[in-house]
Amino acid sequence: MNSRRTGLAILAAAFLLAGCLYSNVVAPLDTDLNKTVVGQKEGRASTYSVLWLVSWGDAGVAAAAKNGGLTTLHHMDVQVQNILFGLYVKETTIVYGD
Amino acid sequence: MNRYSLAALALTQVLLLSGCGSLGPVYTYRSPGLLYTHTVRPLTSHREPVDVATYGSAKGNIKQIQFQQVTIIWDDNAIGEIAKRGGIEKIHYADLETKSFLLNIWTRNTVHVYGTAGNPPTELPPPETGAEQQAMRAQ
Repeated sequence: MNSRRTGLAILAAAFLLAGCLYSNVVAPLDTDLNKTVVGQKEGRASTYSVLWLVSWGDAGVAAAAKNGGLTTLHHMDVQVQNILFGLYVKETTIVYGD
Repeated sequence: MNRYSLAALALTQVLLLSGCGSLGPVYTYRSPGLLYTHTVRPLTSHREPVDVATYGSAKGNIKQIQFQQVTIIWDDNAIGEIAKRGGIEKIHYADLETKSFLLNIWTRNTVHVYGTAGNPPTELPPPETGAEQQAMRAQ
C-alpha cells in the first residue's frame, strides 16, 4: 500500500514538476518568412511568473513595438527563460522592424 | 530496495530524463499564476510587414467562472465584432490579455485589436446664434 502511495506521489511530481532545471531559448513566432525584410530596430516586452503563484507583465506586440520605437513590424521571436522547474519563468516577445 | 530508494530513483529519472522537452512546444503559454495572473501576449503572427503605429484600438472580452469541472463562460471576443464596435476599418494585429484569480476560478480574456480607424464623422457647422440670424436678416 505504501509503495503504491509512493508511486502515486512520484507520478504526481512528474506531472507537477516540468523536469526542466534550466532553459533559456529563443524561438521564432512566425514561420512564414518568405521575402521578409530584416528590420533595423528591435523591441522587447516580457511577462514573468514566480513560484507558480503569481504571473504578470505585458508581452504583447503593442508593448514590444512601443518599447523598441517600431512603426513597422517584420517578424517576431519569443524568448523563454525557465529556472528550477518553472519556479521563475520569463517570457519575452521580441519584435523586429523599422 | 526499500521504498525511499525506489522513490529517489524514480524522482531522479523524472528530473533527469524528462528534461526541458517535457515543457512542450516553446509557444505554449507557460507562465500561469495559480493565485494571480495578469499578462498580455501576442495573439496573431504575421506573414507580411505590419504597421504597428497606433492609429486605433478596440477591445472586447470573455469572462469565465470555473469550479472544478463546471465552467460558465460568456461574452464576445470575436475580432471582427470588436473592430466593428471600435470603429476600426482595417485590422493590423491583436494581443491577448489574461487576468485570473485563485486557481483560475475567475478568468477574463481580453482581445485587444489594433488597426486603422475609419474616417471620423464630418463635423457639422455650429448652429447660428440669434444675434447672427438678426444681423443676416438686416442685410
